[in-house]
Parts: sequence; structure tokens; C-alpha cells
Amino acid sequence: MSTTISSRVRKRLVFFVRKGKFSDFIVMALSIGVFLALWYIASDLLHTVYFPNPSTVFDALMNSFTYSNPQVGVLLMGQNIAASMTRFLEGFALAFIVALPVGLLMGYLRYAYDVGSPIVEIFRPIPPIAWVPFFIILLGPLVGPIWVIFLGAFFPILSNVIFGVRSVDNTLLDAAKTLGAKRITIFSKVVLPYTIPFIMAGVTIGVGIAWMCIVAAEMLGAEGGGVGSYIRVNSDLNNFPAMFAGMVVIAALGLITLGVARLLEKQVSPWRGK
Amino acid sequence: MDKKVLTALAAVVVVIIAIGAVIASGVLTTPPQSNVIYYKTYLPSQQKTVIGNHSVDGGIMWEPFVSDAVLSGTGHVLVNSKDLFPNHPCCVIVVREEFAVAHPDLVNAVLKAHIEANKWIADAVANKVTNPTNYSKLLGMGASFSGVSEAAVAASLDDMILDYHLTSAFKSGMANFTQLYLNTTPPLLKMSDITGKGYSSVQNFIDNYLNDSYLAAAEAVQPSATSLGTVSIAYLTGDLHQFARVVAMNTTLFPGGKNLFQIYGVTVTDPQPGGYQNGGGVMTAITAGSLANGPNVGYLGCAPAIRNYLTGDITKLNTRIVAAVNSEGSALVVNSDIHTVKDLGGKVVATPGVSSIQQLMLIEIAKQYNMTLSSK
Amino acid sequence: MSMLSISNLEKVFTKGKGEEQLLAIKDFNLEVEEGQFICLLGPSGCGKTTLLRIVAGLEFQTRGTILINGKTITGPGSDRGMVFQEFGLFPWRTARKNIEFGLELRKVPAKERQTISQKYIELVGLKGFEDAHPYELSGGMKQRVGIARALANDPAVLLMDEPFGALDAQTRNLMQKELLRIWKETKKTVLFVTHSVDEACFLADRIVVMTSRPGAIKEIFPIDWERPRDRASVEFANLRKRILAELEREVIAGPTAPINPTDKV
Repeated sequence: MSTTISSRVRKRLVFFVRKGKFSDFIVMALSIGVFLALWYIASDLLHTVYFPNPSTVFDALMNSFTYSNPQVGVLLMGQNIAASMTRFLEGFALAFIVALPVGLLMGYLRYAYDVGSPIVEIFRPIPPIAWVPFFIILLGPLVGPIWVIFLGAFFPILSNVIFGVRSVDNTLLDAAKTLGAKRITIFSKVVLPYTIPFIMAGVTIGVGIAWMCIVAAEMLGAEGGGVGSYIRVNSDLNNFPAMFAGMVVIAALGLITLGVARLLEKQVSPWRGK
Repeated sequence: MDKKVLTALAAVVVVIIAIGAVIASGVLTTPPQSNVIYYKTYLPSQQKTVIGNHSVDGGIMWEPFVSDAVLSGTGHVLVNSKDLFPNHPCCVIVVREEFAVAHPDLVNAVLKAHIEANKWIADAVANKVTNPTNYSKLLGMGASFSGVSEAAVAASLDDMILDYHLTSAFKSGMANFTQLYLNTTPPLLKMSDITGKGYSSVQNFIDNYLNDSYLAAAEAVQPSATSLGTVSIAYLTGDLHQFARVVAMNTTLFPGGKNLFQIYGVTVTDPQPGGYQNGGGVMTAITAGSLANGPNVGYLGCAPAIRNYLTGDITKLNTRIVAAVNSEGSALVVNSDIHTVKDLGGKVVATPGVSSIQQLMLIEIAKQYNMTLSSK
Repeated sequence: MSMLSISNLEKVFTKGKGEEQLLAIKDFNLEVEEGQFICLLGPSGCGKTTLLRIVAGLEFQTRGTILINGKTITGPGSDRGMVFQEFGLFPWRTARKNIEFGLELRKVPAKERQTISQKYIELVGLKGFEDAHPYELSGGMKQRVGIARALANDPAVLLMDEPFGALDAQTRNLMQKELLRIWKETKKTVLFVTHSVDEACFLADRIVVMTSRPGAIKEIFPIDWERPRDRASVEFANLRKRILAELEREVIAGPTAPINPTDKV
């Protein structure tokens, strides 16, 4: 009797985690549990307001959706998430729209590569966060952070697109030629589809970097709130549980967007890596 | 297949742009409300620039940036802090309690240099006609520390009171600030923050948090030929409220090429060259620092000192206020389109940060005019 | 007139700024009748693949002419279909879509494309695998797609560059039989590059044995035996022996050194 119940539960859980194995799910739950326990213990041992325990942070997180104090810059978490998400999407869309054609061009045309790559190589090693003060002073705290995110996402997408185009299998190009493809059709029917997994890989890397940039940019100054500025303001106010709550939100937003990017990657190129 | 892929890709791009545009129009551009004063955080040294280029409509700042903004024609004073809170306390010297207990001689020597610097400034200002050399040295020091004109330094000296005494007026002013924090809605301090630290009332807290015994002992300190030790002192960026520290650090005023701190046997180090953006920053630096390496002493506004002490961890940030630095000397400077506080409705004002006396003043100004304050 | 005519073909590869030149093919002449199955055999590096790529239009000769049905070739074209050792299938396309690639380029209407691809899917024995992506197919199946894709354009000549080189022995033998069946049904002219003497003997109407670099024709072996051929027969073994002996001599002689620019006429 008990075995049938547990197997039923098990089946349901397996369904819940879909493709993942039941044991994977258990391991995942255990690992999170151990992490939370360690957090509890560490916070208890250190016993300081600067390192609140998980339940205090959870309370602060719940509270953050209803408590605001705009006179010291504490906005509702919903507003902050909307503001950060907007910046993320705008900066990212901009990066994608610019990096894709530039990358395709630089990958496909030797001349464009020779002209563009020195410039790219000069700018690429500069961490996007180093641009934060420049963009915020030049463009203001409303638009500035968007450009920081743009830079953060731009280079991974660009490099991956260039790499993708340049790594197109020569046999595929030959095959297309012998089947009657001209330069333009080779580009649209061979190079572009071949590059899509590389584009998506660039997008996935770019998403991670964009979230780092967003927080850094918002910490230095962002109009209209943002999760980064929520973290910053609460640290200024010595409100550490709220600061941690902001960090948890950033983690969640990062995971969600990364998940969406990975899902998209699978949808767009199921043949990849096979 | 590749047509499908391209369509999917195009769809993704379109969706991203669409979502971005929709949210952008909704969130980041909420129309300003006429009953709300908005603020953005800028260093006081940057505020003249951002008022000048219309990024903001005004700024609440410390001297000499008030005088600099006025003299350069960037704006005019709408509210001076002395009109809002007559004779209000401003900057103080805070020490890490543990450090003061371990090295009272060092703290006394630092305070002695602070006292002598204050006397030197008072003397230079009083005798500016008969002995213009010291006065012009004073203006030169202020101008190079803050990056403003000597005229602005001269004007700022008239706008603030530099005094190291922890007078009863100073103390009651601090009690008043503590009460203001308790009275904001929503409150920035709770009574439980005070009782949680073991104080029965605001007055009881002020009486204990201020310790003037070091100041009293400092009066008797004599110059020391031998070195007593090193103290790392934190301060605010370009803030001439803290002129005494600037004077005490100068090595050209006294014979022997020593600065005032060195004369009393103390080598002073700078934990963050250029200084901190606001009082909260100084308190955080002390919290993050160590007893061995400091910073153990900080010049900062009394309001953030009080709030950060009460909300911080006593095991990490057990501090005491040991001397006054100045009273008054802050102002809300606005551009020529603004004539009354009511005109600030829907406009944006720069502040040094939420953890500053200036922010507290802004909250009070909004409250007095039945307006609300909100971050932009 | 023969359908494929290669005359006085010469290919010089130039490296860098012309300092180093390599004579790859020299004085190559070959006439191929319609429907013939030709195998090009030679030591590695003799230029047989280069020759095939020149016929395909993927490389250009330094001198000489290639005519197909009397027309000079100037680049790749759908009158020549090519099958590659590495398959060269588009991984994002299903088997059917791979086969239809050339038809799409020629703007053949979708319905007609479907009919044509169906015909070749059945011809090469891919039924049931139409909607599989290349990663889901075995090597042999992949090459069936490769052959069908080349044939779908209805080329005059089918160029095959060691098409079964990447397959295991059993699959290879099977594919050779399948290729002969397809060849009989389509009656295509085939130019087949291989380094397997056995394969050449099994498949070809004529075996063209090439010299070491620079590649020229060493000897042509016509074979008029009935198909399917018996690999165990005496004449099969004898022919194989003779060709192997020829090849061995070429391998021992080795390629000639790179020519100097001054040698250029």
C-alpha cells in the first residue's frame, strides 16, 4: 500500500520536473536545503545585523512588495523589478539589433572584419562596468544604464556571431555552391542558419553579463528605481535584510531570463550539438 | 526549416522591442506630480554642473558648494539650513569606541589638533585686515581642497559656524534630529532602535552617545616630539564644514614642516583619498574597517552618525561623538525659474545621498510645505 | 562528341605572394561518354580531388578547358551534382529539405519540389526517414541523402569525392551496390574519386589511374564485365593486382618538388 502511494507521488514529481530524473530533483532540493541551513548557521554564528538569516530575508522580501519609502528612495519591489526589467530588455534588444548585423558582416566579409576587428579588440577588454560613470554623466541616470547593458551584451553576441560565421563548414559552402547557390543565397540559406546556435550562445552569455551590468549601473545611479538601486539604498539605510532581499530578486530575475534564453536556444536549434 | 528559424528569431526581436517600449513608456516616464519634490543623488561637488546643464532644477549641498553655485550665477539660495533649523548642529567627529578606550592619548591628540586648527581659522578670519597672510593662506587651502574659487571659500566662511564645542544647543539640536528621524512617515528610525541599544529615551541616548571627556582632556595636551601613533581619518568630499581637518593636515603653516596632527604626535592617513560622498559612507567605512587599521575617526554629519549608529551593529560600529565640527552651512540652491518651495513641485533636486543631513532637511522642507519627497 | 571533355588541364597552386608554386595537375586529357561510370584512382596528393573540384567549378584550372555537352564551364552549376566524403548535409534541414535545397534555389514551386524529392527519397531508399535531421541518421543514410540531393537537380554529371570513405566496410559494400542500382536507374555520367582499388574495380566502366604529383593520366583500364561483379573471381583479382602494382610504382617514385617560378612558361 505504502509503496503504491510513494510511487504515485514519485510519478507526479517526475512529471513535475518533466525530463529531469527523480534523483536529480532530490539532489537539487537537498543542495538548496544544505545551502539554506549553512546560511542559517553562519548568520547565527556571526550574529550581526549585517548578515541576516534566510527567514528574516524572506520576511523582508515579502515586505518589499508592499512597503515603500520614496523620500529615501525605497520604492516598491514591483516598481524596481519593472524598472530593471525594462532596462534589461531595452539594453539587450539594442545590443542584439546592432551586434547581429555587424557580426554577420564582419564574419562574412573579410574587408569588414579587417576594418572592424581592431576597434572591437580595443573596446572588448574594457569591463562594461567601467563605462557606468561615463554613461551616467553623459546620458543621465535614465538612459545611461541602458547603454551599459548594451555594451555588456554587445560583445559576447558580436564575438559569437563572428565566430559562428567564420566557422561555417567549408563542405557546406561547397555543397551549396554545387547545388547552384550564389553569394547572397549562400549567406541566407547556409551561413545564417548555421550561425543561429552561435547567436543563441552569445545571447545566453550576454544575458548573464547584462544582469551584472544592470546592478552595477543602478547602484551608481538610476532614475526610476531598479533592483540595483534598491540594494544600494537599503545598504545606505543600514537595512540589510532588504538589501539581501534585493539580491535574491536579482538572482531570480537572472535565472528566469537565462532560462528563457536557454529554452529559446533549444527551440531555435534542436539539431545543435548533435 | 530555416525560414521557420528566421521567423522565430524575428519574432523574438519584435517581442523584446515591444515589451521594452511598452514598459518603458509606462514605468520610466511617469508624469511628474505637482505635489512631489523629486530627488537624485549627486556629489555636492557635481551639483553645480548638473543644475547648470538642467539635469536637475536645484541641489541641496554643503559649503563651499552653496557659495560657489551662487557666486558663479548657477542658482540662488531658496532655503538656507539656518532658516530651517536655526543654529542647527552639522558635522561632528566620531570615533570607534574601542579605539578611544585603547588609545585615549591618540584621540586626545587628534582633538587637540582639531581645536588648534579651529583657533587658527578663527584667528585668521578675525585678523584678516591686519594680518591678511594667514587669511589668504586659508582661502587658498579651502579653494584647492574643494576645487572652488577663493571668493566662494570666503563667502562660505560667513555661511557656517566652525566650532568644536559640544554645547548644550548643539546637543539639543542633535536630539531634535533624532526626533525628526522618528517622526518621518514612514519612520526612518523606530523607538525600538533606541531602546534596543539600551537607551531609555532620545535624551538618554544623546547624553550617552556624546562623550565630551576626550575634548576636555585634549585642552591640556602638549606638543609631542615623539610619535604616538597613526590614525586613519575619514572625511567628506570637498566639505569645508570640515575646514579644521584641512588646516590641521597642512604642513606649511607651522615651523618645522609638520602639520598640526604631527605636532601633537599623530601621523594621519587617508582611508579614501578625495573623501566619502556622504555621512553614511563614512560610517560604513568605519564599520568595514578594523581597530588595527581604521578608519577609526571620521568627520561627518551628526544625523547620519546617529542613524547609522542606532541601526547598525554595536559589535561592529560602536562609536561615540567626541567633538563638534560646525553648525549650519547647508542650503538648497535652485535655478532662476524657481522662487518658492511650491515651485519645486514636479521638479528634481540633487542631494548627497539618503544618509545625509541634507536629505533630512529635504524631508523636513517637503513636510513643512505639505509636499512629498520622492526619488526620481 | 563526348559529354564531358577535359583537355590539356593544368593546375598550379600559388602560395603567399607567388613565391611558392605547386604544380598539381599537368597535361590531363579525358573524354567521358554519356552514362559512363569513371573512377579516378591515384596515390594520395595526386590531384584527383582537385580535378573533381575543378570540374565542379569549386576551383579554377590554370590552363586547359573543360566542356560539358560542348559548353565551357566557368563556375559551379546545377548541371553538375557533387557528393562529398563528409556528406556536407545541412544539419538544420530534414532529409527531405536537404534534398530540396537545389530545387528551392531554382525556385521550383513547393508542390513540384515535393514530387521530385519524394521520387529521389524512394530511389535512394530513404522512405520513412524523410523528416529526420542528419544527426538522427547513420553514415550510410546520410550519404543516401547526399546522393539524392545531388540527383534532385538532375545534373548531367554526378561528381563523387570518395563518397564512401567515411563508412565502415559493410556499409561501404552495401552502398556500392546501391549506387550501381541508382546509376542504372538514372543513367547518369559519374566521375568517382576513390583511393580504393577494390571499389574502383567493383564500380567503374573505366578506371583512370593517375601519376603522383603533378597529376597526369598514367593509364586507363577499361572494364567491360557484367555487373554485379564478383570480387572473388580470378579476373577481378588479376586486375586489382595490376592496378596496385601501377600505383605502388607511383607511390615509390613520389611527387616531384615544387616548381620554381622561373619554370613557369
